[in-house]
Amino acid sequence: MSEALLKLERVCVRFDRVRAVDDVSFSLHVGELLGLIGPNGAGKTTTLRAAAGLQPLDAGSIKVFGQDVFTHSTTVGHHLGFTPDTPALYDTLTVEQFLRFIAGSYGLKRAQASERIDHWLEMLWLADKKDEKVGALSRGMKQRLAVARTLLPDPHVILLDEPAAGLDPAGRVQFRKLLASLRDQGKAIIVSSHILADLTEYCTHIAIMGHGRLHSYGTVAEVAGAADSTRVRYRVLLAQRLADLGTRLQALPNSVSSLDFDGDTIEFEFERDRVEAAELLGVLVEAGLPVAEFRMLSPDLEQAYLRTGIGQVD
Amino acid sequence: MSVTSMIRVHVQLAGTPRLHLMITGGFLAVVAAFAGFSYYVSDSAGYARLDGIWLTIISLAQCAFLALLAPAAIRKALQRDFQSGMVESHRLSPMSNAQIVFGYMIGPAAQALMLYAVSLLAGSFFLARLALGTGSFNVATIGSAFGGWCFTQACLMVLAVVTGALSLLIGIVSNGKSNILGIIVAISVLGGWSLVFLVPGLALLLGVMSAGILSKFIGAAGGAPVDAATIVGSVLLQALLSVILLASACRKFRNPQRSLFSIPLALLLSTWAGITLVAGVALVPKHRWLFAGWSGYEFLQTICSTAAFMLIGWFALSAAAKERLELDRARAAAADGRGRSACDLIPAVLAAATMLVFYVLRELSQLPSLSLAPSGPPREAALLSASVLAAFVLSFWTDYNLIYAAAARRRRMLFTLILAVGIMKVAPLLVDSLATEMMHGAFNTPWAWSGYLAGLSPFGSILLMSSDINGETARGVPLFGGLAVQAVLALGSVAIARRARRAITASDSKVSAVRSEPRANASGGRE
Repeated sequence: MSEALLKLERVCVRFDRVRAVDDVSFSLHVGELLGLIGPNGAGKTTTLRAAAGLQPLDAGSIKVFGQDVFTHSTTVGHHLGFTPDTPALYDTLTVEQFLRFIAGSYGLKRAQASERIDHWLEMLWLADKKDEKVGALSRGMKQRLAVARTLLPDPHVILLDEPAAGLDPAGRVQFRKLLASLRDQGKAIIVSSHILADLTEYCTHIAIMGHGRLHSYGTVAEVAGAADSTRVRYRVLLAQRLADLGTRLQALPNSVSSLDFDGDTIEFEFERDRVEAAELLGVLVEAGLPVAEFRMLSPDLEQAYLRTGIGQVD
Repeated sequence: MSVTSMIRVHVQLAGTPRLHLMITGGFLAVVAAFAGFSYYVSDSAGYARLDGIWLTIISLAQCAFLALLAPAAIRKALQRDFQSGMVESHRLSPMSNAQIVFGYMIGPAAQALMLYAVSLLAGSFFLARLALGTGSFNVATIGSAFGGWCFTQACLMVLAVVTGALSLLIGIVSNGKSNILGIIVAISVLGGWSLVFLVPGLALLLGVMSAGILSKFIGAAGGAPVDAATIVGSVLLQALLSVILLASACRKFRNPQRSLFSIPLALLLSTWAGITLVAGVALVPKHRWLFAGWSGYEFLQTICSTAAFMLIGWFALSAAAKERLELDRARAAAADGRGRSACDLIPAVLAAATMLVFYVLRELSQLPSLSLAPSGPPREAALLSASVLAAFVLSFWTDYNLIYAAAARRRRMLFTLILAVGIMKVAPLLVDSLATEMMHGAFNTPWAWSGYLAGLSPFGSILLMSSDINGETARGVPLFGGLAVQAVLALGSVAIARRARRAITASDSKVSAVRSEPRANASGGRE
């Protein structure tokens, strides 16, 4: 295993008597994208702020490329980018002026800065807003500009706190692609989000936090299947809506659980084993259901999260 | 590159280049218009007087630009950056603390600096007129006038750096909320000159406390009765203070949880304060014009200057208490047991320094007629001096423990604590004086318990040592009795600090216990 780009070791942060982050440890390597999930007040933002060196620790250590984020803040600054949940911007500057300032503060040469500014504005659909005042941008655009600010110096470790919160559906799709692209470039990324469906798509790892502690950490498959790795969720689509669907579903064996149905769609949990799944399909057909599609769903992060009992996703 | 970015962005944030030029040009146009009009309506005999008036107006405007407008712009920039979150953006960047601080000192003040530059030109014009208008074209006279002018400008720049650094530091400490200029104006209006009379050392920071003093300071270069050595000394002290303030700003910018000054920096500040306070008192006899009407108050000035030194010593105490706290936390986390620290010596060091400052001030005040020097046999004098030193040690030690306990409990109560401790030290003295006066007024006899309350305060100890109140009894028993009470208070503060220390140890042992538990899934298979 290569050296960790970001390493949190037994990190503790307290606010008065509240332990906002309690003994959290994990590390991130090249090309790993960690999705940080948990209810409000779980400690996600504090963890990210601590990882960025903005929140002093009560105990533990945080290292980027083996260097302490607090004692080597200027060196670490070259490698680390952080986008807070509320974008930090200068409203009275134009988009270009703002990004030029950021480029200058990272020591980028003028030509290099111009090139990168154009690149990131293009990547984040802001190219036509270059000369507009930051204050005139919509919330989603400001969010994208904040991400552009983070990515402009080309950091190796990227921390994003609720980056998709203000984005429209098209923006979210584009943002997912961007994150996947950054991950494939070898960046180590942490994304805090409440949109779990998105996370399964681009994250390599998932961490579930609650009450300041790390409840689960692992690959998406590991975490999603952590509750019961032998069972998985299935979705059945019917060719037509059935009025007596509930009655017909009584034929299902007892091993089927968490059953949900809605006219022409049925979802449930069942054994992962393919042979047993085939037998179950036979049962459904025998019960007279016009099965048009029978699909084993990818690991369900939401279910895994809810099983932890930490709290509801907002 | 980074510094220029910081400067440029703050200039951009303050307004467009056109706006900057309009403001600067507007100022110049207003000056030209009014000056032109005043010369137009005046006869040629009055031109020299007008030159002098306009030079004074320009000088005052320069003071306003550098000492008021620039620090206000710095505070406003910090306030905006704290509100928008851009301070954290700067903290994340690879810019060094010094680059950021320098950027804040120059960038937001750019408009004020442009106005200053223009006023410099205008002032030079009026000065040239004044020098040429003396009737005889004399290179030496003109050279001397311009030399004085340039020297005044240098002094002004140093003053601007001090006020700017003060504004910046207070802004960083208060997240851009506190307005130091407002506080200074309030103190100047309410306290005015009396503060300078009570603590003559403040006169060396002319301009910081009062616009009235500032105008005299500017006038000094033009021939007011302040000698050049005093001005140079004053400027050097201001320059040292600005270095200390800027160093602190650099230290605090990325680490807001740190104490305001590091221990070495706070000790340097205390040394600076000691030199300034002593120099202030030493300069009183040479500058009677400044302290007119305050003859005979030398004893009060000595006490107030000593109190000012003690107050500034608090920064070192605070730094030491916080460092000790960090050390204790680290030891508790590492289960390293308890231990002593060199930080605990700071109260004693400060007490010794206060005693030294007091003795030097006392010597400079030259007040044997007020029985400042302990009278009686040498042994008694030594005993009294030792008692006052003990009072200082106990006072600093009590404050040190209280600051430690407040910091350990993560209470942001420094102001309350300062107020409480201030009252604790000053109130007994005031109540004692008041009661003595009242008893004397009502019954025309000395109060039998006079001095007993004063003995509870370190300042009261100085008073009791230095003057006869009710004869020997008042000097001896209240002094030693008060000392005993102060010792009890110090022991109480030690108990409070010890309890806070135990809480740290207990709390961190819980963290250690959590760490020893297996952590399901967390970092499983990663390392």
